Amino acid sequence: MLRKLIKYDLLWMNRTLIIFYIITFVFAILMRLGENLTDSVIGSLLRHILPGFVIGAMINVIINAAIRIWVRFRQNCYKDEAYLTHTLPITRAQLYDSKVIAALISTVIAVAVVITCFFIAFWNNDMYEYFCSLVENADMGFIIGGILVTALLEIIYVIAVGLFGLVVGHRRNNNRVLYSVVIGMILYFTLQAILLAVIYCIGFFDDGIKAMFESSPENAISLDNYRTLIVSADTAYLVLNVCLYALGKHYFEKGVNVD
Amino acid sequence: MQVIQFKFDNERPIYLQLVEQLRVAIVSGAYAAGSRLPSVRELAVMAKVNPNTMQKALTELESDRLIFTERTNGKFVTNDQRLLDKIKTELASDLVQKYTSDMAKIGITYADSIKYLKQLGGQ
Amino acid sequence: MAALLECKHLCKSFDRRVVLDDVNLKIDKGKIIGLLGKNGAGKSTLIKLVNDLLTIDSGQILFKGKPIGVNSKAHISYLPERTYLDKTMTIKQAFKMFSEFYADFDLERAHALLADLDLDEGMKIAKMSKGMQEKLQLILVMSRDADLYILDEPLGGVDPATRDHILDTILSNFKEGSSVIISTHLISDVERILDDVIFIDKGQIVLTGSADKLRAKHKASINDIFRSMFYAKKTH
Repeated sequence: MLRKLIKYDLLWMNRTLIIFYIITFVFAILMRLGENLTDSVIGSLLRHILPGFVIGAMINVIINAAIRIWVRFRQNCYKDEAYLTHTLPITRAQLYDSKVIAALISTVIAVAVVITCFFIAFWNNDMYEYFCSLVENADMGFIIGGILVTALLEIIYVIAVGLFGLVVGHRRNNNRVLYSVVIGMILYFTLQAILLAVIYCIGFFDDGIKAMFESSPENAISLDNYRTLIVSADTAYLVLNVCLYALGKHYFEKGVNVD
Repeated sequence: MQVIQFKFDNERPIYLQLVEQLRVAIVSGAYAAGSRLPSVRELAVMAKVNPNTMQKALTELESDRLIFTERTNGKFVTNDQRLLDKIKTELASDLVQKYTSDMAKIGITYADSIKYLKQLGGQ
Repeated sequence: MAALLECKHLCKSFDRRVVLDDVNLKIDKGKIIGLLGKNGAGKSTLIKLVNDLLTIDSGQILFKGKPIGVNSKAHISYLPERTYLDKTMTIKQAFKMFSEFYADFDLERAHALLADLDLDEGMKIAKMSKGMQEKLQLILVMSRDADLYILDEPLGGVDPATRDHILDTILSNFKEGSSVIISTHLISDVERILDDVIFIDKGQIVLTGSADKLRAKHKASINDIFRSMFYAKKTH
């Protein structure tokens, strides 16, 4: 049953997203092709405009993926469609898991599209050489990989906060959307502050991190500091994501009140 | 399938009205002697009533032996012509009684009411 | 044997407004039951509670003796007042979804019922009128061989021809031996098909009984009995 549910969720989420994916690919490919254009007016115009389009389309992909995930959850579990969703012979735990797994898959697809389009549009020899020189240093390779993971976790975290806000907001009888948004925002900023506090606390045990909070701009931050920072941030995001999932599921399983 | 029109008055038990109207359908020959009746569900849909209520009415007709059940084939109208005639006479007598008593209510004697019947009955 | 559906001391409030107050109810197998009440009497709330669309404040709802859940959902076929299908789907996809999730869904029957409506299977639900969407939902609901059908206001705001079509669809398709609960405030339209009636008013069950026995006892239609109980007499 879970697999069938995920299939329908994924179909719904990605049916519109695919249009954004195609647009992004088209811009990225146009940009790559534009490199070979002669120095005509149109050529230079394209070269100046297209990077903006590509980056805009990439941001669009991520934002729209998040919105599709939230809208699916709200429409399917709390609006008119809920009358069918909650009367299917499935547990609420399965229902919640399906939405979360479909959300994760959709996010990974969206991020993969963005990364691929980045390579199509911007990758060149200079970048390759610069990257090679960075990766020769094993620490730097770790840091680049770590930052990518952090970015992915951050996106998932934003989506998870949104889903949690929807669950908690809809436990009320009135102004559900308002409460969902407010709860989501408060949660987001509170948890970011906690994250900062956690890293600050790590400073008590790690002089390098401590220095980051105290130092003036001249004090360079060492690679080692970055490493600690990324590891702690990734761990914290992972823990937060798991907590949000468990707590959201807990509230969701207690039952819904559909309008 | 022979379709018959049912008409109801919501102020009386539905199953009694079904019994009455099915009885009329049978003695009038709409459902001929020895013929198979539509299924309970078909009759219920035809009359737009609950199949349970239709079943109850048919059970009543069955206890009057106006219809009988063949275990696998469904329900059939009786072949007993004497019984059919007897019920037809009963129904006719009810109607005649209603007619004469209604005529009496408006001050027309039995003898005169027969005259009225002869003069206007064909209309 | 446990009743098909049983509500015990069921209460539900919204923001301190009591909507259901100590509702006790037993529904047996093989009956067509009218859940009758004015708008806002608590009919929909009761039905939504049974279908797990609202949380129970206190009390219990048992289906065949067990608390409602996956098992009750697999055997209850529910027609809400809302149009609940994903409108981006086609009719065919909606049929497929129902057959994937409900083991008791009869695809052949659904096709036969759809043929009556003269609709194309490839049609997107979003392109259908609201009335057509409601008819499609009735097809989906009545194509299941459920133990209990719960129909919330199936005749709300339809013309007489459609009303006859809906009643026909219900009567010809519900599984033999199963029960049907029809909630409505338009009593005269459905009273003929009811075995039993439940009158609900201000969140409380005020009368239950056999429709024909009530007619015989009061020498009046269910509609008239209902009116004399809940509306100030306007005649005379």
